[in-house]
Amino acid sequence: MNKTMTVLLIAVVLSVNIGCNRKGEHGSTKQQETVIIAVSPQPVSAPLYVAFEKGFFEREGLRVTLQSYTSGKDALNAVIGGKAHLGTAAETPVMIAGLKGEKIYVIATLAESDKYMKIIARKDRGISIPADLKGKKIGVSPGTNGEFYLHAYLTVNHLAKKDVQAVDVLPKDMVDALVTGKVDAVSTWVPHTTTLQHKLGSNALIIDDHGIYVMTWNVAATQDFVKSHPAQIENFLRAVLRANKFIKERPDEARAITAKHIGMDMPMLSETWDLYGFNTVLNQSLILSLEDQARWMIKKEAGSARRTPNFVDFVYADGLKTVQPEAVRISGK
Amino acid sequence: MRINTRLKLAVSVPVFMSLFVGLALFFSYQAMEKDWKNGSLVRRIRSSVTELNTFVQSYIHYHEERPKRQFLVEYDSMTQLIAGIRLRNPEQQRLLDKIGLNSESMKDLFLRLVSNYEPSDPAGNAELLAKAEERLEGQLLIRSRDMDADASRLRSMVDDDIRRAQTRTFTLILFVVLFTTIPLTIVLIRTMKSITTSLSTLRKGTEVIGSGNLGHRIGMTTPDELGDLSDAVDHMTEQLQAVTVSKDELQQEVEERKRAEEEIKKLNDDLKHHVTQLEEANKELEAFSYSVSHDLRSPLRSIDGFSQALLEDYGGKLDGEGRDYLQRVRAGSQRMAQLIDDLLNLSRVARSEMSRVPVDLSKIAKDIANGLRKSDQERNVEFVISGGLTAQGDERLLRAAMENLFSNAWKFTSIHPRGRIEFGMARRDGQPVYFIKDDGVGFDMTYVGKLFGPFQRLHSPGDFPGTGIGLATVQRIIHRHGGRIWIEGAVEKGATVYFTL
Repeated sequence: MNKTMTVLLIAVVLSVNIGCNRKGEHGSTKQQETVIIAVSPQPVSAPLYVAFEKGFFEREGLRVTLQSYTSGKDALNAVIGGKAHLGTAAETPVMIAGLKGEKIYVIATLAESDKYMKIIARKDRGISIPADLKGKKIGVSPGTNGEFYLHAYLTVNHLAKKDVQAVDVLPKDMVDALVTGKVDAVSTWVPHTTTLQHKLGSNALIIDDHGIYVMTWNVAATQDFVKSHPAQIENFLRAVLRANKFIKERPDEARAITAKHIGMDMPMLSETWDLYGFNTVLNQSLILSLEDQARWMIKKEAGSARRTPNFVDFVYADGLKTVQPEAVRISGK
Repeated sequence: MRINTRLKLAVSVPVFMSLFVGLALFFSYQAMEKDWKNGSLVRRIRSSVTELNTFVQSYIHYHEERPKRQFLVEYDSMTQLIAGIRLRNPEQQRLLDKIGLNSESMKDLFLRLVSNYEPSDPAGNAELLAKAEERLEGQLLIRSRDMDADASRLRSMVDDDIRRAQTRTFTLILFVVLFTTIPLTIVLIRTMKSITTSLSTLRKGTEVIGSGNLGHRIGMTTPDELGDLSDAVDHMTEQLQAVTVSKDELQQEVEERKRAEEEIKKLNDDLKHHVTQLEEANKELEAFSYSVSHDLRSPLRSIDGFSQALLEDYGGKLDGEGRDYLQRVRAGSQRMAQLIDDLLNLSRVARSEMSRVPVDLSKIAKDIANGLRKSDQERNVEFVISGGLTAQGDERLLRAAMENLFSNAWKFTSIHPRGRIEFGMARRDGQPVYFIKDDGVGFDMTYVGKLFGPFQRLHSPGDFPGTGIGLATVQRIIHRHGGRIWIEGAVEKGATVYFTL
């Protein structure tokens, strides 16, 4: 019996040692590589902030630097301009880049929400129902999903673009524009929508037609970078998936990290936190959404000879397929 | 480890293992049953999502009533389905909830599409209606694809759960089997080997012992039942060896005793032979003595008769001294005749045949006492005789013995003015002891050993007449009856003769 026990003990000790060694392979022994990520300070960027703060990137061998941009559009432009390796953006800037023929890849969708975009109007400007928008000045950031949301809202409510007065407003100026009364309404996203609700109080009319638009929050990179750094893409995605798990398991801590990075109060952040899901995927709906918006954009540019590109070619699914195969649901990928 | 413990282990471990595997299978089956059920429901949801997509596409193309109605029926069915499912995995439940919300949005979009196609105000802006329709259709497609992706993902997750549950069950069973069967097999193999080796050692040992080598010891030290058995066999062999040694000693002793018995028998035979010789010699001696005594009487009578005739016929011619001599001759011859009579009596007592009958000793005593009183009526002697004393014996011999004893008592009390002679019985050690007690002159106990010898006398014939044969005769009679006789007494304090029969 004593020999048997010894054999079993040795087996257990070896198992533990092997387990430790395996853990070590994924641990701190990886060679660190620098990755610059252009991030728009929005709640949907939470997985990147969490991965950054909790050291998930480092654990995957990535020495990450976060660069902050006021919108996804700017962040994507930073990527295209070579200022960052990866950038966060909604599908609208991606679509525009695609139409422009920029060689970019979406490597993952970090979050989806059909309640992310809102039109906030001032009641004191005679706006109490959606139809009252007619003839009003509506602040919007061109080239962002704020513009697309406004278009969608007007369209399904049988309003033409000319029925309202669209005013270009930078994302960072959106809150001030409405609060100061430069515009009668704005079409924008969280956290501006939440801030405006709080600042305008009862004077705010919240127009929330969530059926007409689903926002996707994506991570994109240049195709050259992706092709030359497939391992880094996989490591990045592993870190993001670990961050998603952390967000679900320890939401309070995740919210605190996010609030710190985007400069938003915790209570305000908590109001919309559950809308985002934080599920890293690549869905066919992204392709449809990009195509849908591309068609809109082409029509908007009257006389444009551009055609809707095959957005499947703008998606790099190999990385996500490697680290989480079931997350990819795009035919042909 | 003891064999009993090992066997218990060999039985209990499989039982425990079966129980454990059974329980694991039961719970695993329950979990899988639930996963299968969820999987089935999720597949139905996926199917519903596909159906909804088909109806949407159909309506977009043809704007007919049938896909519209079927869309709404399918939507209700799917909503009920989703409401009836609760998934354990929160991620799965979140996906399911998302599908539910998306389906609501899809229904909303679909109804808005229908409403857009069938406007309440037919005179509305056709271009705006067309743009709205295009927008709604685009969103419907996006939503339906999103739902489809989520439903597909959910199904994969549930299928993964089922696979994981199966793998978990398999791993668990494998683990239990490996971690119990292997040690159990090792224990059984070691047990079997140990038993076989021990049995072989025991067999060889018992064969050696069985061949007669009781000095052999198996000496197994295994800490199990067979070790105990080996100890027991060794102990038994030790005992057997000891018994065998005792048996030899006993046999030797028996043989020695046999030899001793044979020697005793031989000695006995010799003794019997000597006794026979002695008896024959005795008989010859007695016959000789009797013959001599008998033959001596005749010359004695001649001496006495002629001495008397000499005195009577020639007494006057002799002087006083001469007559005295003659008187002395006569007295000597008479005394010698008496001696011869006594010797003849003693001889008769030894030779006569015995006839045992109940004898009334009290009566004999009284007869003797009466005779003695009559012989000398002047003497003042009190006889105290206990009545009813009887015994088994030869009446003639016993009477002779008692006459002797009473005669002695009568004689030795004669010098006292008053005397007392008692005959009675006492019990010693449960045996009746008869006695004749007198208060005569008694004797010195120093010489008690001489009293029963023939011709032995403690007093001079001048003081008390007698031949010294009496007590020897009494002793012989008592001995012939198988009894004992002894005397106690003191000078001037009388004597008591005790005898048993």
